[in-house]
Amino acid sequence: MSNGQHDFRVIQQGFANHIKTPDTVVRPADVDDRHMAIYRDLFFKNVMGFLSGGFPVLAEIIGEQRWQGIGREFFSSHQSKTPYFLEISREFLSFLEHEYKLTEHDPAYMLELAHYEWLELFVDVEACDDANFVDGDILASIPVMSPVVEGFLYQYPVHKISITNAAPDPEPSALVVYRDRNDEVGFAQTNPFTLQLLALLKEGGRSAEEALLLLLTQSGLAENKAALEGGINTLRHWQQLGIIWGCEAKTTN
Amino acid sequence: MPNYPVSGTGLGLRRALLGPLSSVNPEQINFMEVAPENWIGVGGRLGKAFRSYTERFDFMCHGLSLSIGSPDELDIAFIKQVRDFMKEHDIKAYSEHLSYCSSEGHMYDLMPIPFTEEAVRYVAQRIQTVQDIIEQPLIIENVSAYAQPGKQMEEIEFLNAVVEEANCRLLLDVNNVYVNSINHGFDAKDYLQKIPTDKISYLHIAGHYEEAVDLLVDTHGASVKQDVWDLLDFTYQHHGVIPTLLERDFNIPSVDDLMSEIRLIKQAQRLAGGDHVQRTA
Repeated sequence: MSNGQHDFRVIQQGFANHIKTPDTVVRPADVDDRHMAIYRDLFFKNVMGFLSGGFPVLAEIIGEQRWQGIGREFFSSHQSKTPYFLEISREFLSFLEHEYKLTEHDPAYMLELAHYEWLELFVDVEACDDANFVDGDILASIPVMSPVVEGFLYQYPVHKISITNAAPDPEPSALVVYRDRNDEVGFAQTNPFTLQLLALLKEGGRSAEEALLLLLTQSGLAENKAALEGGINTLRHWQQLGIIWGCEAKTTN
Repeated sequence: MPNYPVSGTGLGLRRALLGPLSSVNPEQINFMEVAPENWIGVGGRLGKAFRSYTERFDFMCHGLSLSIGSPDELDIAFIKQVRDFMKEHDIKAYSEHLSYCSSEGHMYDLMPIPFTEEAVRYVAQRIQTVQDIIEQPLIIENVSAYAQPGKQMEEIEFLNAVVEEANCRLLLDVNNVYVNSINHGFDAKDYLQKIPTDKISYLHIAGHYEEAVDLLVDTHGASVKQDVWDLLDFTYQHHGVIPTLLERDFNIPSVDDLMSEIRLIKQAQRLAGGDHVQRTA
């Protein structure tokens, strides 16, 4: 079957394109405007609901009118592949990163803030296997990390941006967002060095002390006692926060 | 005795209801329904809360993104994820809308398929593809519509032709029949009488919004209107007592209010001569 043989599919595409871009695509000839308006409104409100729910801080800072304009551009031009509603946020983030052209009205931190807002949702809902862990000394044994933990170095303090702090100066911000042992989302501000430590620990297979010493050696700080103690304190703190859940259960062999 | 995937009365489970419904038991709500698109791949506290429901209640999948009538290709990987999700949670069956929600990408709401012979064959073939993957009949629902672009036959003819040709099952949404009867000017009872009884797997009932006297919108955001209750009674009289689920997706009221509407369904089922509730698990 070739596509061209299906007249009804051409009708469908015209119907859909008018809903996406009503300003430039005329409605199907056999549908009156009053009825077509129901579809236009339902669809756009639905999509805007997902976007405003997923990016509440960005939406408020951008402002209602421009936010609607960006939402319309997303709905008109971006081909969303995901059937999953919680992943519409990821589609929008991808649209902002790859298809949207920042304007002079957009804050310079727009993409970073959108990424951070998406990350908070992602960490909350991402499916993962149950973590198997025991309490113990993470320095001596292999730590079990939160099954959902992500760290990023942002150029802006995205975690502090709000409608009342909408024009912050650039300030490199190393942020860790994670799911704790009670399934609550937490975040911690750290530094680029400990982001590397996080990445090493996520690889697995090393005790916290081994990971720390490896990183210190790579950074030429192997003999630096203050750096070692600082690292140990960070790791203990991470265990209290729930970035590290515990230790791998020892197996006898 | 008809063979239904669930029995009694049901309620659509929303994320907002996970807390409020925690003390309700399967004698009060006999089965539940979820959109797989809201739950596949969801873990954490939400995933655990959902699991606590599927362990206690009989469940149906009521999909939103299959886009069975779409000009876009079927998403085979997604259909397999639905199949695996159903196995994981022991979900009884999979229903979807006789509609499409994508055209060069997902649009996340339902559009009307043109009622043509060509569309019947196209949709029926796609339903069969889905049925081959999920290894059970797909249950197709009649949808509310506010326009009928490219129409070459009546809605009831289109619906019955698809069900016949695809050899699938039917989710009869009584509210949608009512909404469309007003929006497109047909006799709702005549439509209901033309539905083949032996194809019906279960019923939906819901509230709608009156945009104008001749234009109703299927919002699932209000209580069920009297005209729709009357049609539910008529459906039971004509087709027998069938498992029926209440949909409420917006302006969600208290559990007490939801339970009174559930009790009204139970009452209608009793008056129509049947209340055969049994756990199918």
